[in-house]
Amino acid sequence: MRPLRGLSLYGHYLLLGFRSQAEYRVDLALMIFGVTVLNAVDVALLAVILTRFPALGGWSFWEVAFLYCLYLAALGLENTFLLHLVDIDELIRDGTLDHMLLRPRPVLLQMLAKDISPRDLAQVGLGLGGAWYSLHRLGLALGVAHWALLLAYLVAGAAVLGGIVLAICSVGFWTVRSRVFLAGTGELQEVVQHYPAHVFGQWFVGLVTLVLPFAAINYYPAAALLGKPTVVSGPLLALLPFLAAAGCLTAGGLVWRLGLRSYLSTGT
Amino acid sequence: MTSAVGHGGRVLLAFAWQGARTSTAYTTAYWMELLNAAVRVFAVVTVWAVLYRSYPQQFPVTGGQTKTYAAVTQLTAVMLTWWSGAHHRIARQVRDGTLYVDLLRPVSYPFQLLCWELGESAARLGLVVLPAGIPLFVLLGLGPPGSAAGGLLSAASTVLSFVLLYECNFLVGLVVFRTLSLKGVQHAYHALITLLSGLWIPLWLYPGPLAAISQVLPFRSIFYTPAAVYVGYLDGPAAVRACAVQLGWAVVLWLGLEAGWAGTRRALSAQGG
Repeated sequence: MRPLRGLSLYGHYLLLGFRSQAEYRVDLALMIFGVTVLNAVDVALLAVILTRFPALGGWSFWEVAFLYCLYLAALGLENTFLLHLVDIDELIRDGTLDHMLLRPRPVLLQMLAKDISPRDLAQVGLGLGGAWYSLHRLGLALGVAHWALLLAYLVAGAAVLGGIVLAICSVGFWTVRSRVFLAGTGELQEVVQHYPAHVFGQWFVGLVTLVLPFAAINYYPAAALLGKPTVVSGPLLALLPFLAAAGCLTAGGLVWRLGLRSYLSTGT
Repeated sequence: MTSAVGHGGRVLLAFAWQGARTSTAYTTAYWMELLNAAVRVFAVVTVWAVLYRSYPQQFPVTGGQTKTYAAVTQLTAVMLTWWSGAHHRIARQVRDGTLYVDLLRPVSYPFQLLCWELGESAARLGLVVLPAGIPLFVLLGLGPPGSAAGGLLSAASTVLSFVLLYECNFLVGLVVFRTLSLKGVQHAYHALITLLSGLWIPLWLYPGPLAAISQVLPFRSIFYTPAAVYVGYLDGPAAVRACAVQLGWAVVLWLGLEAGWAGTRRALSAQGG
């Protein structure tokens, strides 16, 4: 299938999904309210800690808030467009994947274009708004180039997350259940979102840089934009989120292809 | 009377056993829960250790007490799984219509759910909290209770925490009978617990206004009281008073729960075929 045709079909599917979800206005409003309240409370807790203690691992409250918001925006972006990657094991179990394989369109496209989540778009807005406000409170006025870099980091962060999710969920081709492995990384993601990674030691930084590079979603981008020291520096620090994104997408794509090639259907 | 108590005990054990079996049905999920519990405790304890090392003068307790408080609250949270308790079960049953099965049983619905939750919490205590908590206590250099009496009182306080949390969850779950959905309400409720229960930050570090709000609500009794008694921040008469406040809330909320359930039950109608 020609890429442009695929892209237009993807856009069309997403629009349909958005419209169907926007029909349930009260549900949507409640979900957006919920996401806002929970994230506001998270930031309030960070504020309680960092107004009493001037810094955590050398990062001030507004720097930590910026770190948190970057992750929130990247997570929202990933969930908006790639949310249904987590359904891979369910599609295998209930046989829906067989139906998808029969259609003359890429399976991944069909899966991702199922619908779009306006709730997660709200998360992107909250994250970006919070990041802007944090920078404002830090007295940093980013120029256009820096904002473009921030947005590029956001896309890279979503790609890192998407690649990791695709790789982990594709394990479902062999284990039938895979969402549970993703759940196993839940607390690790929470930790990286809330606190600067170096607070937990060099081994932890290594883990979230080289094994499961969640730090490339917010820690390295925030350090690069705020000028904070990390284990890497210079051009490598600025490029690390993009390298991690390329690595994660490649790894995710490989596991997905291997899984799809070895897929023998449920046989029902 | 004795036979009634014996019957009640058997019912409780049967539901508790069911709850325990449910929470251990999937082996991989179990290992992931263990991993998540360990990561969570390690992270929160490390953050407080770093803060204590940097600003010891800001704390009214020792570094060991601060770290232990963090571990105890997180392990209690894992045991009670406050984010997915009775309110979620009620919402699921109302949505898929399976509530009637529980209503047909000759045991009150709130009591059934209480026993179910008790079983799940007991299973998590034995299978997640202790296997993750004991090595972490040793590795992170966390301490035993401040005193033997404090340890016993903290254990009793944890039981009351379980009851209190169950009652709060059940009362939130009753909203589903009117709205058919937990959305919104659940987030607001979880936000209140996150902010006011002392789960993430010891309440002795809270600024005045926030501390004052937490004083008049039951949420501080869920995580703060058992942990503060365990580390000895609350001891002697203060600890007994805190546990009495917990008991008072448990009684008040139980009365509210019974009244709320009676009203809901009267208005409830099941249809189907």
